Amino acid sequence: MNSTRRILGLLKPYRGKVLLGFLFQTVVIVTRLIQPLITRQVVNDVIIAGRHQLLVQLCLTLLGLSLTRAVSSYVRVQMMERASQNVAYDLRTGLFRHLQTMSFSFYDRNRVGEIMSRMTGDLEGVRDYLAGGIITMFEQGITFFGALVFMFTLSWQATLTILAMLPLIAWIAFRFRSRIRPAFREAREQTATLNTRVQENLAGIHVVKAFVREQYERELFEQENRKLLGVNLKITDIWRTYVPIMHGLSEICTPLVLATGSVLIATGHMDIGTLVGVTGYIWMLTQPMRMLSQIINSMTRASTSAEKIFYYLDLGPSIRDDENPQTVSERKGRVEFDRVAFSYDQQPVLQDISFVAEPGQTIAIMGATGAGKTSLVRLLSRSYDVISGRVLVDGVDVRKQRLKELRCGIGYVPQETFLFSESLFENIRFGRPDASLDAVVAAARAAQAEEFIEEMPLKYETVVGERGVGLSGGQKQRTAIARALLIDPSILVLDDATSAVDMQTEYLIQQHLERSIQGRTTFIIAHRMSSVKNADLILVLNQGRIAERGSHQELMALKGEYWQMWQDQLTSISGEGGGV
Amino acid sequence: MARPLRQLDDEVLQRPFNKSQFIRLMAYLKPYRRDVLLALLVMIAATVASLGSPYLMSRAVGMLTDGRFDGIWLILLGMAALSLLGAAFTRVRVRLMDYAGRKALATLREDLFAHVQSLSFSFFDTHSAGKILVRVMNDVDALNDLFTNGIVDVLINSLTVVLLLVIMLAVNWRLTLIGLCILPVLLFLMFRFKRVMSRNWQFVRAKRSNMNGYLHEALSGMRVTQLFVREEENAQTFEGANDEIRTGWMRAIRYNAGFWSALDVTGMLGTVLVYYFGVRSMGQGLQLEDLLLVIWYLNRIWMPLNMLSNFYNSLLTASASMERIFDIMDEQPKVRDTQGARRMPQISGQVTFEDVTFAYHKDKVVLRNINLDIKPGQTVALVGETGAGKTTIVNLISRFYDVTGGAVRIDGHDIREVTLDSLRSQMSVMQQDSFTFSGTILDNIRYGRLDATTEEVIAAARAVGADEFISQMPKGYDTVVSERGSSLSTGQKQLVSLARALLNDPRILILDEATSSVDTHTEMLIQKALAVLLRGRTSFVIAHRLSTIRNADVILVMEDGRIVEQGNHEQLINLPGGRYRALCEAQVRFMQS
Repeated sequence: MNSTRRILGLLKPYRGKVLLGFLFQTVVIVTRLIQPLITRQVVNDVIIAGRHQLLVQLCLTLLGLSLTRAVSSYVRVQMMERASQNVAYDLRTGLFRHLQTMSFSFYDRNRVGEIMSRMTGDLEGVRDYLAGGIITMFEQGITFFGALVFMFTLSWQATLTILAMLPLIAWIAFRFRSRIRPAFREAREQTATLNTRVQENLAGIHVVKAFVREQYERELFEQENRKLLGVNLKITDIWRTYVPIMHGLSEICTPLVLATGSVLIATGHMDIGTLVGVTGYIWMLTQPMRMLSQIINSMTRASTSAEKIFYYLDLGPSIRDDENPQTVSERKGRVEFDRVAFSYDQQPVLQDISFVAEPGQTIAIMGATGAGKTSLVRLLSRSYDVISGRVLVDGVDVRKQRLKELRCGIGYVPQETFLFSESLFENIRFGRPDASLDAVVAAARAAQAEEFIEEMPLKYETVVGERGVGLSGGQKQRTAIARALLIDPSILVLDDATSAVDMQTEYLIQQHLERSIQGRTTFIIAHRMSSVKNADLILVLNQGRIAERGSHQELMALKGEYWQMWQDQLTSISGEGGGV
Repeated sequence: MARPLRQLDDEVLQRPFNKSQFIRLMAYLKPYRRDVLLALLVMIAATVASLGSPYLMSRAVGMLTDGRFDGIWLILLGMAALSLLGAAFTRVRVRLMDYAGRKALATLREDLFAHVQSLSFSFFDTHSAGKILVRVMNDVDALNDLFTNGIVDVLINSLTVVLLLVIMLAVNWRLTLIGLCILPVLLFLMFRFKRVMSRNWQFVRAKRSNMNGYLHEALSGMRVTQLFVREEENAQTFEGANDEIRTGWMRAIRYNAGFWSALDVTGMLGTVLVYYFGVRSMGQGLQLEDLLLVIWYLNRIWMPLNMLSNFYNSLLTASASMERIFDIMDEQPKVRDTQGARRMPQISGQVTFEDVTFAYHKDKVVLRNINLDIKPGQTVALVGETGAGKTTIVNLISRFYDVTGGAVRIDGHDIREVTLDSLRSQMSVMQQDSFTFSGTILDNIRYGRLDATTEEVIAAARAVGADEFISQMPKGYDTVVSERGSSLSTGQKQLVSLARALLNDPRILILDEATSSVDTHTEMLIQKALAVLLRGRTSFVIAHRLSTIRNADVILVMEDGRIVEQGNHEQLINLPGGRYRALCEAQVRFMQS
């Protein structure tokens, strides 16, 4: 119930609206409570006693009550909905902002689909509870006790008759609650599982079709789908075990009251009008009991949903700004790794990495697949934190710098390109949203992207990304290079950034890049020797350690791993016989 | 400053109700028609039971007024029996309808998923995974209410209204008509208000689905956002989208609240009129019990009427989901088994292109007049610039697309005349964008041949040089990787995919830049291993590295959708002024410069 209290805490900024909502709701309930008294008067005084002159007055009172109720309930809805919408807005945008601070490792572990369902379905559950659930609880509570008081003044005997039924109905309601809660949770989890199943199937549909695994995939899907069906049917079964009985018991209250009333009338302790009035309260007394299951549903759903949302909110980013961040006076692009070690999920990835990159130098990183090349450059932008040692950019430990300032100075071209469903123009100026078209075109030109963009029907206005035009791997990579160049970074990181372009294009990119990288410290991860040989410093990684370091000439003279790679590639190009 | 969110969603605000699709949907309930009919009967009984209580009550009041106490216990018993019967009926109805509805929906979802599996690449080229996902999950869920409650409810509500009217009119038709004289106003209110209401809610839904689309993308691209420090702009865009939803919602809710208030007042007006005229005619034979009955019943008529007016709107809402579901269901796979397609016999590996032309769209021809004759066991390398048509050629061999003109033959069989399953199961295709499913590495490789033993999986991994890094992981082959394979490097993912492709023991192997992110040393190891493994298999390789290309039996140099040079390394390198020669020279110069 801790999470329930926390949900209520979200309403705090809007307590004025909520209080007004409760106030008007109370007015609504009072008008309802008065109504049976009027009916009683109509029956007793007007019909039975024949005082017809009272009729118009009573009818007008009824209309007046109805009008008051209409206005109050209108205001009440406005207040409560406004408050709940504001809370949903706060929660959703707050959660979004919070998620933006979460580190890479969080996104490595949590699937997008799962986060999505928290921010949509779960959040909606909480909102619904705030808008409707709480007010329903309040409404039913006040109605119940109000009706109890009013009915008691009319006939305490009839009231006691109904009260006798209460414990039974309440007991059933709580039994229901304890059983339906785990079932709901199970249903939500199974929905998420099925969701992931479909998402993955669609993401890998090319593999599915290439291996003719459609049938296999269908079977997997049906398995999960049947499980979900089973859980849903279980919920139905729980529902129908308890809820109809609750309804039936509350219905039985009417004949019970009637029986009491009959005895009282027969013995002259009650009049007909009072009996009719009392029946008006039966509904108000039993309705809260009937609603109990619904309220419990909504409450349970909201609190389990809230648990998940709060789980994210309470998860602090593992990487955050230092409390006393240091400011770098000038961003020149000097990078120093000082005995850096890094591991991922307790698996050592980098060990004892030390090197210095002076401003404007080009550093090439080579090594076998999985040697830790990408991890190394990711430490630079503090996407992950080192385990020991430190990474210094312009003389200051990256952990001491403000993340934003640090990252603004680094242009990163990742291995796998992600573009947003926006125009190419917006995608390229992603890191500098105020860049002019000229600046964007210049960056595209430097990245060899201009040519293919000009060929597009809408040129820079072409919408790409998941919901737009599909680009080839090479086109995406060139767009990403342009994006990185546009922020005019002092450090540029090219993580295998040209793996998907053909060799001629790569050659052109490199020639252009040579101009663009002037004055920037550049990190290049590449497999083609041609891309790295002009680097000022070449680091050859082997199982997370620097095995060789130096310039092309130095490493060639060393006749070690680098020399071997060079030979391999030369051989592969010119053939064993040598000479083209 | 953040810009407003781009509206990319295809949600149309108003769409007419599609009757034929509704009938199609209802067909899913057919296997349960006995249950549905039974549920209907039970519900009719339940309705009668629920209407019986006020009737009995009013009779009891009449008896008490007259001082007739002896028969009252019968009425009490009747009312108690009706309450319990009602509960029992509900229990049975929920069992029947919920089960039928849920099962029908599960079947619909399975059909939809199966259909999606049968669709061709061209479909997935134009429909994003996110959108298909929404259809399979959310749109099917959106029909739940219609299936389990909607249809039965509409019948029951109609029945309730009719029964109420009949009893009221029979008891006192004059009073009934007086009470119902505000009905036209009410109906007008209902249908008028509801139209505006539903338009407003649809606006909210459209905005919300657009917001969800943005959210999905923002989360997927979070790493890029963080690296480029775009958090603030994105947060503002997101806040803008949410603000639109909030504003739309408040507008919609105003109509909702207004409607309920109006309903309250008009309903009360009817009650007051009945009191007023009822009391005046009390002397002329109208009994108190009849007056009360009319009032009680009158109070009960608004709810079913309101629900009936809601039904059309919920149909419209369901209609949108229905349409999106059937949109996909009606999509025909472009590539499918022809009538009388035979099984492809064991492939020996001869691949022939006969004057093949291909275009993704009518006006954009990608391949022109391609003629090829590849002998069994040959290795073919495709070379050329991005967009020259290399991937398209290999996609035609595995029949991911059908040719626009000409024919592709394997061992002399036109591949359109054999079944897709028998064709593709003898091939392995590995694309540049390698994909790992969430699960263990073992399972990921085994995906290539589901009945492979662990030893066979390890052998395949060893053959492509993946065994080394896998066995270095703490859990080895049981290491769990995720969908995007974030715990594996791109090169490692490619190795896993390659092992998967080999495990399938294909007769034809297609590697489309399969090792672009693998380091040179590993690649050379792979080359050596492949040289052995590919013996006797035909293979097509697209690569940018000459190392991969030069040992091929046939090199195809492509340009602008045509094959401009064809031959082996020796032949092409000696072609004066040839493109391949230029390519090699450039590369060597590139390295030595």
